[in-house]
Amino acid sequence: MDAAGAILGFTVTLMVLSYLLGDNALYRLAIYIFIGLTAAFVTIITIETVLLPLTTSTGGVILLGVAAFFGLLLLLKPARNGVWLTNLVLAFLVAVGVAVALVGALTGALLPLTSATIQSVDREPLAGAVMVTGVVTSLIYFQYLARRGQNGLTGNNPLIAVLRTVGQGFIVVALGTAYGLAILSGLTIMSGRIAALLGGGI
Amino acid sequence: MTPNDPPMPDDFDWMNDPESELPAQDDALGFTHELDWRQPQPDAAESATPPDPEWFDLDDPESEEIADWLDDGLSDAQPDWANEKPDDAPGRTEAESPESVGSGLTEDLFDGTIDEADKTLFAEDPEPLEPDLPPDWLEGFADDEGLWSADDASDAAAYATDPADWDEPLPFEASYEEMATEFPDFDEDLPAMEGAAADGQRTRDDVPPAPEMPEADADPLEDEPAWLASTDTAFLRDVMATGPDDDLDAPEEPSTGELLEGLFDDLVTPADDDELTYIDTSLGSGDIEALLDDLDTDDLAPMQDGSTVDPNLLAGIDDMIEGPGDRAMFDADDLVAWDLEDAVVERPDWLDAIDDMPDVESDRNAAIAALAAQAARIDADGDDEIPFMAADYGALEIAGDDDGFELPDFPDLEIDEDAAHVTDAELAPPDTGELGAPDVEEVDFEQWLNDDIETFGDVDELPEWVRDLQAERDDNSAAAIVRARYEDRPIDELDPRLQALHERGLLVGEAATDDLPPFEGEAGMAGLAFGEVLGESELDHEAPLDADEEHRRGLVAAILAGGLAGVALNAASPPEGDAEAAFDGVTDIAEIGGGAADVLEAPPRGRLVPGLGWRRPRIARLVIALMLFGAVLLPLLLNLRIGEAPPAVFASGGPAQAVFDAVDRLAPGATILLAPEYNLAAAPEMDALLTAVVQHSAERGAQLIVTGSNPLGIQHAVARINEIPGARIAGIRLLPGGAVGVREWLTNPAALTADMTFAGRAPRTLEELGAVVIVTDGLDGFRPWAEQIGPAVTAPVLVASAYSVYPMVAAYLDGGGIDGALAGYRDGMTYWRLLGMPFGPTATDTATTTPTATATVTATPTTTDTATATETAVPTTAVPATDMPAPTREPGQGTAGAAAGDGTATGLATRATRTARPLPTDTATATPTESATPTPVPTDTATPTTTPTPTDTATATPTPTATPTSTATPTPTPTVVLVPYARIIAEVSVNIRAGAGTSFQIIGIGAPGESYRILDESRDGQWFNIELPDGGAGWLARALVEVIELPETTPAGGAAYPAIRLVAQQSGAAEPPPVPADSRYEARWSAMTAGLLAVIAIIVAGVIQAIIRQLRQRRKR
Repeated sequence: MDAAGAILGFTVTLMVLSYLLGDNALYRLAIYIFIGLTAAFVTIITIETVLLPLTTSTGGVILLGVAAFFGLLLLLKPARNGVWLTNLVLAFLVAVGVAVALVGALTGALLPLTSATIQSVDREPLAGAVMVTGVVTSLIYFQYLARRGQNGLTGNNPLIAVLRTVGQGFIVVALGTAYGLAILSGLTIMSGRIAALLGGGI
Repeated sequence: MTPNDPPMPDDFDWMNDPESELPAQDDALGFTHELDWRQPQPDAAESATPPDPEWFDLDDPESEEIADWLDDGLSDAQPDWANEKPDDAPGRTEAESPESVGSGLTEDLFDGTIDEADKTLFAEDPEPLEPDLPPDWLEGFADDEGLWSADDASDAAAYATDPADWDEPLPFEASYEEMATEFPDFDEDLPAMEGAAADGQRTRDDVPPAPEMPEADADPLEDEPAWLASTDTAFLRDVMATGPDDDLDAPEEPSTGELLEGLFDDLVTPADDDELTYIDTSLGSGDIEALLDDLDTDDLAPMQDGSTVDPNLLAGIDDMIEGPGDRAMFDADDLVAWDLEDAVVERPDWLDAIDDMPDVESDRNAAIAALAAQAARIDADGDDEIPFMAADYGALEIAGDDDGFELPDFPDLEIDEDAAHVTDAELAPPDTGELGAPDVEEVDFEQWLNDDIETFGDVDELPEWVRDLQAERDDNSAAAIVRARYEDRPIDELDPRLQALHERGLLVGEAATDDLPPFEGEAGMAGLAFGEVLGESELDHEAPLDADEEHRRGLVAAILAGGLAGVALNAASPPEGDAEAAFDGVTDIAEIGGGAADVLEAPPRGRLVPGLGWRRPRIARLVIALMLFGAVLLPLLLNLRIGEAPPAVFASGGPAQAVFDAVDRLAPGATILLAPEYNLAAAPEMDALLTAVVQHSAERGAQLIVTGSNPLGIQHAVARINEIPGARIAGIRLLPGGAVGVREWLTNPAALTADMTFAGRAPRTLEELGAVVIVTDGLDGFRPWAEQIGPAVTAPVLVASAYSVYPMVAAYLDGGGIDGALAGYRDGMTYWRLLGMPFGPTATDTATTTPTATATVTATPTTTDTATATETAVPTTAVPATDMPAPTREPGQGTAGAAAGDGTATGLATRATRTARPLPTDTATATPTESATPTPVPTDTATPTTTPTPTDTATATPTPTATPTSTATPTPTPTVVLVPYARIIAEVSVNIRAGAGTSFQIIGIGAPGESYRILDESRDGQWFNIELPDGGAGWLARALVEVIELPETTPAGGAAYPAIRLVAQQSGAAEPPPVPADSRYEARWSAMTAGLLAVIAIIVAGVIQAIIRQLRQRRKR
């Protein structure tokens, strides 16, 4: 069984890698299989771990009924006269999701990061100064306001231009770092996959 | 009658002149020369007796027709009403002015069509009616100016329409009896209203059959729509009955089917073939509705095209409604005010929105509001541009939202007889007249503004605001705004990419200028447009044809060459690459420099693949892939070692060390919330981290709740965890809904853990968690935990992330919601080493694991990590002495850990105890033994307090002062046994009592899923004596629990220590084997390193190539 799995995995891996030669039937077949299996698996997991447990209690059944009702409303999407019901449900989902994310972003990310940026100056003056400089100049880089002169031309304040350039430098470094790490992740996965095909461990 | 008409002679007795009937008859009936059935017979001209009055022009074809008609004998049957004078005829009184003549007789004679009854009236009227028109009782409804109000006309029409209602109170608030009393002629006039007697002596059916009429090519009466013959046409008849009866100046082209079509377009818009959904209430009334109720839309088609029904039969209708000049019977206000109370429509919501608009002060605003409503409707169909356009006109105010397009909901308009009545203010935009309530269902907004002006007739009839919108639209589109922003912007201020494109365009033009024919015609226009994009953003848009001729030729050449080349390349590329291929075609021309001819003559690149067209092999992509594959494969195949292995320890004080410390501090039985938020594709990277953390937590005796929003991640992680000896999963919980699902842990954690099996007390709140561990390969899976759960828990939040996510994860450190972070495979391998998991000793390790009595360390200059660790080798985590079995060391044995730079006491202590991975077994009934026996392992077995003295020179030789803290004092080690626990299986909380019976006092509450160690059971076996968390005892009913076996976690000596580790120590591993070197991981690490080097090489090569290319291009320029 393990051998069969290894052979199957090897074959599917090669099929996926065949995309290097361009879009082809083997690649698409592998992708379709993966997506199909994933969708089926997610469905099973959802049914087993989410839906079925709800049926064991009255409250769960009520909740399931509400969810089913919302699901049915989503099915009205193709109906021209019923699309507003679908939008109602989607609006609810989007609003809740956005509200949750917004609260999380503010309380968990923005405010703490702002505080951390400020505090970094106290902890490590040099590194903190660099951090503050990077944050401020990066923000300045993303402003596009300019005053139009009498000659019809637009121009930035020289100081702003300099700060934008500095901010651009920080952004380049940050994006470059992220890009490099993304490559490293890719290499990790690649090496792991090849090692697995060759019989190695994780 | 127009002012230019000749005046009537003073002595002309038109009242008694038969010919004088002609004008009234002609006007009332709307007859024209186009009426087929009235066409003169061959001999009519000879027998005609032209009327004498000057206003009757013999040369006028209409007059001739009338004369011919009269010669046919109809004059004998003329009713007396026809003696009415023209308005400008002598003796005409004001009361007899045409405006005041709302004659029911006229209406009777013409009820929208000429039917048999009408003809009969002319042919033989047995009892000619009195010529006292209009009836005085009707005249009483005229206003001071002799004009009928709209309501009066409607009432009269309704009255005359349905004789059956005569027994009912008349619609104008006067009963039949009252009318008859007030107006003596009322009874006599009533028959004239409808051709039927009020007393029932005479009805329409009593009218003698019509005589045979002159033959025409086709009898239009046969094609008369049924609805026109019905009594519901009262509205139209009424309209015509109130028209000017002296109208001799009917348009030369009197009302036609087109005008009628326009009328009905205003009246009704069929939603489909057989359903009428909307009435334009600006013209609406109950009469219209009654008419429409019987209207079969099948009748509309022939009416509109005029193919089967002579539209002239309906002449006069338009004159009444929209007649030219002063002959118009109603203006917009009249129509709107006309019996709006009877207009039955469902009030649309957008009307409310219009009412709520704060600045509805002008027609334009109201119209814009209506447009915005339509735009919202269109947007629901997926067209985003229209709302944008509407928004540009300020219509956003309709919804009070400046940021979005939340326009009011716009339900379909439907006829609803039960709907509340509306007022004119609600239904009609102020003073616009033409607009009315827009038909949101059928009107295509864009087409409306463009071409479909037939709704309004000619262009000149378009409302002004529509013309304004048409004129301004182009200046308000998204593209226009963007264009305007860049139009007058100097090139040097443009984005560098746009500048490059500009230069490239100029280059293309220069390259191809000489190779193509002169600029001509439409191609020149296209070339100019292309030039705007490529090279000439400063072209004068007002005078594009004045652009430089030579330059235009170049641009045309570029277009032709680039376009054709693009087409050729597109054919050789997959469909999704069209745009790219087209651009490549242009740029290739620039590089060739020889103009378009070379490109045009060049054969398509690639090879022709059947079914796929021309395909170009992606050589560069293949070369890069092969380089990467080779770099990664070689170390794996040849067991090459490239680069330096990950360090043996984490940087002290770093986020990775924080993770290790947090897990190492877990109390036995602690619960970890583990969220594997990663996909299978990232498993090769994430599994290393997952395995390390889970292994560590298992050794600490912790239990796991595997949860998250990624079912694949959960399933995969569970599979991996099950392979880890000692790891225990208390429960699994999928959280559907992403961030919303994760939030469930904040709102109802007890419910999520209800069906889980815990060793010990189940965590009811997040405060009771030992740690939260997130293993993620993406920011989306990480943020909900860090942003929502992180601030809400006191337990450490630890993250194990992929390299690609780590920069974002690191931002959440230092108060951002997480307490520690691991990054990628590298940290995973270091973690393994700290755990003593199989990972081959590095060269440094090998060099330093040689036991030496002096514990001399030779710090290799290249091992910077070691040096760093040594410098900061201050134990940051004080592990309680009772938690750790004191590592023993034979005197004289080397302090390998210190030599390796394991600067932290934690790391050393951990390593010292992980000489073998424990294997839990049910038969593990270890007995306390003393670990007095030293463990002479050449590897880490000591816990020295290193105080190295780092130096900056490569030859530094730190001299650690290894002070072993271990003693040979035997440490009583606890036993690990599987003991019975009572797990509550009830769905609700249960009582814990002081005795074995319900009569005993309740001393506690047990939650579902909680487990308590069983100390004893009652004699009858129905109660279990359990151990409470506070050390006390209580009783649980047996029926409420199930008996499970869990490892005993409390050491006999009273010190808490992971039972699983003790099992290992008691299982005979008195001398743990050395950590085996596993070359597989080293090989993989080398493969990653080689691959990274290859990537760097590829990037550098690409940059060099780009630089060379740029230099070559500059040289050419």
